[in-house]
Amino acid sequence: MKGTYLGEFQEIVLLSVMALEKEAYGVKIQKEIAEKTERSISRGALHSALSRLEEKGFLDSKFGEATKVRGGKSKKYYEVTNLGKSALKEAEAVRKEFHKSIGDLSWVKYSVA
Amino acid sequence: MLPEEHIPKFYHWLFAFLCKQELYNELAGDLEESFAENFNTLGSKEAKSIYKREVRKMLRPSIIRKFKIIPRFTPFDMFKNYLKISFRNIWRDKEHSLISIFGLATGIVASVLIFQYVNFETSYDLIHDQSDGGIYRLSRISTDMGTGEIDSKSAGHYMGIQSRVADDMPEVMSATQLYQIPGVLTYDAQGYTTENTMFSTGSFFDVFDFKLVEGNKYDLDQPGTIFLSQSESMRIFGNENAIGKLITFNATDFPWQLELQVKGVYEDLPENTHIINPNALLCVTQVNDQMATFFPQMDENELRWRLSGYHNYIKVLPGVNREELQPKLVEWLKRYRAPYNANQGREQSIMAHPLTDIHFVQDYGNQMKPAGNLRVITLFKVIGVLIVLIAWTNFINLASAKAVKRAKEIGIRKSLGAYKKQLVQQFLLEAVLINLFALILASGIILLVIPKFHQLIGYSAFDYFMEFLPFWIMYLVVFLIGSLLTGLYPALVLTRFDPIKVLRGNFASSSQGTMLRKSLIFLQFTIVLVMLSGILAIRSQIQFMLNADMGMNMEQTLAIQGPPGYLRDSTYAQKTQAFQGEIERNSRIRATTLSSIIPGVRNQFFQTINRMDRPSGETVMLYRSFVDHGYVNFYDLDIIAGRDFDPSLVGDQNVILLNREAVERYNYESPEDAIGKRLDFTNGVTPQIVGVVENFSQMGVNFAIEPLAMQLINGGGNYFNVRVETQGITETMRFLEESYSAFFPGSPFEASFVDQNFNAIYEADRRFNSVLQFFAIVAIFISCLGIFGLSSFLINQKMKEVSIRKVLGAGIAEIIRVLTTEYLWLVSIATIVAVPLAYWLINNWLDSFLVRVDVNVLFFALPVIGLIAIILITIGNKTRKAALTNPARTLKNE
Repeated sequence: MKGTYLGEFQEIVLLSVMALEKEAYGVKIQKEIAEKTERSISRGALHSALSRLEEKGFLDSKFGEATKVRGGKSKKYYEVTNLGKSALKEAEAVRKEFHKSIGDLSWVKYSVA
Repeated sequence: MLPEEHIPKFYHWLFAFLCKQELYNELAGDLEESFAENFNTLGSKEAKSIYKREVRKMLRPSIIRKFKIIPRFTPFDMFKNYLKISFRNIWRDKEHSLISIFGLATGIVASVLIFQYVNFETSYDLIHDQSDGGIYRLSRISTDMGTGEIDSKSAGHYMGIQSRVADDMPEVMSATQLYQIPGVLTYDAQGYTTENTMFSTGSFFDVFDFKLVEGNKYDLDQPGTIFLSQSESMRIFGNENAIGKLITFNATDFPWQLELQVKGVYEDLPENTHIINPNALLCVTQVNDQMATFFPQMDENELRWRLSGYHNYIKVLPGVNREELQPKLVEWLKRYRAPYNANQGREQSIMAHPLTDIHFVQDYGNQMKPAGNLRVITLFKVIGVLIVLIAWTNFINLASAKAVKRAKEIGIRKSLGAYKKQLVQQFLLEAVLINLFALILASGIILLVIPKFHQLIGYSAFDYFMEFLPFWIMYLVVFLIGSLLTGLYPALVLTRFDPIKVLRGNFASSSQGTMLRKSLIFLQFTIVLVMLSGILAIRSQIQFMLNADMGMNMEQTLAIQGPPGYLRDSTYAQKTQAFQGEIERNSRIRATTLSSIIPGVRNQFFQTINRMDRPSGETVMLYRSFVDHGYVNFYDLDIIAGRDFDPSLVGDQNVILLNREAVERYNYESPEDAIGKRLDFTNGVTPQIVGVVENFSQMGVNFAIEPLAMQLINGGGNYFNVRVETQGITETMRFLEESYSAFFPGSPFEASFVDQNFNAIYEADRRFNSVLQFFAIVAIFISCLGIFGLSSFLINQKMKEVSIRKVLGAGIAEIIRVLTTEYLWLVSIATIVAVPLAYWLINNWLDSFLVRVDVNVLFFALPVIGLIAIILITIGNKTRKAALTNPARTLKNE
């Protein structure tokens, strides 16, 4: 179902917004993801993910303060909604289900070898 | 310096420009914050490149703002609606739309073809820049000093003119001449026939603006030099450089060989110049020397001012006009010609033809290309305009007839509050759309028919399309304005309707626009009738000329060309007779004879000759031909006095036969009186007249009969005349070709029936006829479309009347009469106008022929009958249907 489906990247974005709690705005989220996943993402790609998550109702946003370093432009803070939290839980549950059925993750290793 | 001052300005601006307003603060702020941090940690360069990359990755649909490329203002919305409605209307009434589009397209095709033809014909010799002095051809006019009559006009003039005129006359800047001798160029043992070898001077490139690609133009003044055209150089040498190569030239008509070196290559002459594109240019002094050997009795000076046939051209100083130049040239020539003029009783004078007029000079002999006819061109211009007019009138007719169908639509639109202006816009748009479709269709058709058209007119006029680009742009503009105007009339008529009347339903009986419609159809009928009459007249004139009694029996007569001059040797005469003997043994060959000329080919050999007994009396331009003793019998010539050549008499070498014309010109009292008299052929040759033949038309009935003397040859000659049986002609031809090759190895076998030569003579007339036919068919086709489309509307309109008549007891014939009378009336009025007009045009045209057919009633009657038949067929089906419809079905709608 398209409405609540959570892509892998979107899940990471959602998680990082949660992790940042009250400090979740563009630059911070970008940095958080870069540090945790060791992959650099562009602000543009992040924007797409954020706006899509907002459309789905997983995120909420509000404009915050403007700082000098931003050239006087206000930040936009994101917050995970309850719907977003339950979507995260659901995604986690699905994964767990899979992990359980596979049993041992190292099985994958042998089969590849 | 603060980090934000290092932000790449262009990218910064670009992002601000492209980014959606509502996202700008968040995203731009984030970018700048990241930049500041990167600047402090990674340094300016790295930070900048990250910033740029980030901006580039911002370019995604969710971020870029929507730009309104086309501003959304109300008229445009309406326009879109008009467009949609127009397409629907065109689509819904397919019959009507197709007729309109096809009619217009046909008109466009025809007019484009005509105008390109006219453009091409009027573009002759325009490529030469004459602002630095006019260019003239010096043509020859010969006047009989006794009677003051002009007795010959020729494009060719004296050999001596070119070399003297520039020195003697201060007005003349430079002069050149051309003399054409067909021949064969041989390179590397391979021969190339070159029909258009021209002998000229280096000043050819001074007088004319033709381009010499390689070489120095004055090399052409050195004997032993040859310049090649680019195409000829390509033909002989391929991609190799021709310069410096050695080539041999052999004349076709007489033994003459030149060893030459290629010293120049010039651009091929375009087709729209009166000079035939020369394959090669050679030095003219070689011809002059060669001519001197042909006429050993004349000294150099005499030869220069008596031998003609050279095309002489001069370029004069700027500001010298023709009016002052012409008399000076006439006086100048007298200086050299005076003694010969007096001697011959003829004044040979100069006519200076301005370069751009030469293509239209009609009655001068020895022109390089057939002359254009200004009257024909004017006629075609008129036809071109008329055809477009016919197409447009159709369009107007159809559109205004359709008004009836659309009256309700307009009524409703008006009641709903449409302004008149808006309705006009709607109809104009429909008109323009139909015109545009027609234009596109026409372009396609034109591309398809160009090859056929080129065949029809005999040259590739459309290869020069780009030269006339300004004209065609103008044509397009006029066409678009015209299509607007043709749309305007129906638009105005339609929108004038009173909505209440229309909606009440009694519009169908309105007679709005009937008068205009009728007069337009009348115009079409008139044009078609005149064209058809013209075609009939031209056809019958051509038939008449082909079938006229020319006084010669040309039935089943083949002319085989003898070998080219350089292949003839001292045994040639014997060989020809042996060949005759050989082929006459074939049972399919009835007779043969040898001659220097054949019917349908102009005799170029003439000379001024006096009577032996009156040295200063009658001087006649006497044409001479050489024939063997079978010639008179072969062509069934009538001997009216004296006898034929007698093969048994050895002394028949110094005798001649004259035709009746020659006898009369020499003022002999009667043909019998001429027998036994002698003429003075100069050089001590004084042949005796032994016979007189009735006049025969060597060149067909439309050429004046020239005084002719025939001399006997024993073998030799240029042509074998062979009369063959009708059956097994292919085998006979094969037999002839094999024997010919056996007797004359290495020379090409060229045979044709002599009557075909006459087809070539009337080529221009035939072409004119086929072009006229083509356009008449176009005109008729467009008219038919128009009548067809219109009649279907009118009959629909009259259905109620027809039904009531039927209810009241009218028969089918009566109904058909009711529905067709209108057209028959129009035909009658058109006939009244067309007949005098056609009569006048036809008479005018026929007068240009020496022998012409009389104007025949059939020329006018047949087109009228034809037109009525065409009309009846066109509207027949609709009429029949209308007449057979059950009246109840029409009337129940009320």
